[in-house]
Parts: sequence; C-alpha cells; structure tokens
Amino acid sequence: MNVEKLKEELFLLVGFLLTSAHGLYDEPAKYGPLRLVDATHRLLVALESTGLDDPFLADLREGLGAKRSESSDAQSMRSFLDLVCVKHAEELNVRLEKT
Amino acid sequence: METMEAITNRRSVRGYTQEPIPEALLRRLLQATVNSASSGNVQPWGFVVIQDAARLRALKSLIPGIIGYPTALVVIALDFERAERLGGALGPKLAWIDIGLATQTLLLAAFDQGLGTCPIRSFHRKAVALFLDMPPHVLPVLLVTLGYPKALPPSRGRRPMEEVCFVDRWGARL
Repeated sequence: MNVEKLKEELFLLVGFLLTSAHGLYDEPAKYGPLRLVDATHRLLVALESTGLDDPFLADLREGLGAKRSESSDAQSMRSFLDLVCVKHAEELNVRLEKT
Repeated sequence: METMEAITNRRSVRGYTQEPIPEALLRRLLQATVNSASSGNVQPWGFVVIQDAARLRALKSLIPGIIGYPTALVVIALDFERAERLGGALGPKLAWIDIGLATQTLLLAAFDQGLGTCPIRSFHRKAVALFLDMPPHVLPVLLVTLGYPKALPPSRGRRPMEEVCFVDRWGARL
C-alpha cells in the first residue's frame, strides 16, 4: 500500500465532503444521495489507486461509476442503491462466516 | 454543424474519454465565448481554463458538482469591479445575465466541435476563487466541464412549447 498516495487521496476526499456539506444547505434535497454516492465512488477509486483492491468493492465501484454518469431519475438511483445495499449485506454475511 | 442542430442536440455530458483537447480548439472555443452578447457591451466576465491534470484533480475536491473525469474545465467568473464601473447601478445584476449568455455560447460552440460539456454550479465559490488566485472583486459563477464524450446522454426532455410560450399576453396559448 502506498501510504503517501492514500493520504493525498483522502485529503482530496475530505475537501469534497466538506464542500458538499456546505453546498447541500442550499441545494435540492435530491442532491444529498448523489453526493454520498459520488463520495463512495471517490473513496473506492482512492483505495484502489493506493493498492487496497477488493474484488467486491471493485464491482461496486464500477456499478456506481456507471450509474452516477447517467442522468437517471431519483427512482432509478434509489432502486440501484436498494440493490447494492442488499448485496453489501450478503457480502457482510459471507465475510463474517469466514472469520 | 448547423446552429439549430447544436441547440437541439446538446446534452449535459458527465462521462468523458481521456483524449486531450487540443489547445488550438480550446482557444477557438474561448474566442467564440468572448463574442457573446453583453448588456451595454460591458463584458463583465473572465475565464480560467484548467487542463493541467494535477490542478484539475485538486480542484475537483472543491467542486462536488463534477461527476466523472473531464479533461478540461472553464471557470466563468464575474468581474464586479468592471460591472460596476461600466454598467452603472444595474451593472452587477445584469452581469449575471451576461455570464449565462457566455456560458450558453461555450456550451454550443463546444458541442459544434464534437466536445461534451456540463455547466456546474455546485462548488464552493470562495474556495475555488482562492485556489485560482482570483482578486476579491472577481467571483467564480459557473464552471463548464469539457471533454470528448463517451456517449451522448438521452434528452431529459423539456416543458412543451405550448406550456411556456404565449402570444400577445401571458397565458394566451400559441
């Protein structure tokens, strides 16, 4: 793992999170979920770029990347998030069983 | 490309290839943009182009509205000193309209040249101004991402003309 690279990526992510939080006071409510999705995607990209790869998270990153590039409606994004939340829970169980 | 074709088919693009935009093309786009209509010909604007990958990546952390990885960004700024000095009491208010006109020119010119764009207003103005060394009388108002599109998104639709266009008086349908 490249610690310096990770620090740099997290520094940029912190900026994104803070400017998002500030901006969301004045932005449409539907932007909130989009910012969280984008933050998740940025975090996953950052982790991969520093060598912390994980096949499950790589698939999630790919799905999030495709979804956030679409001009999709809120319902479509909500359904997508519902799906990935369930997948995440399934993966949690798999990982817990291994420990 | 015909002007009407560009107006009708332009979309906001968030997915870009990483093919760089030639500098000569960026210059052509900026030349078109500075030819935009301006109230009283005040031209209260300024444009900062960012193509350097490291600066673009850093700047993205201050701009939540950027989704995807554009290869260039144009920051469209309002010069309040110029707007007040040349535009009179209304100058600073009219300047916002001029910024909108200039932005539309850039969007259409870029589309005409095969580029995708997305106007962005979700960013921290003070932080972006600081990052770009803008003086206190200059405010970044809108950003436009630029790049070669991976695909052209479908239209999100617009309110029908019959709903928003009237004849002679408000409410009288076309």
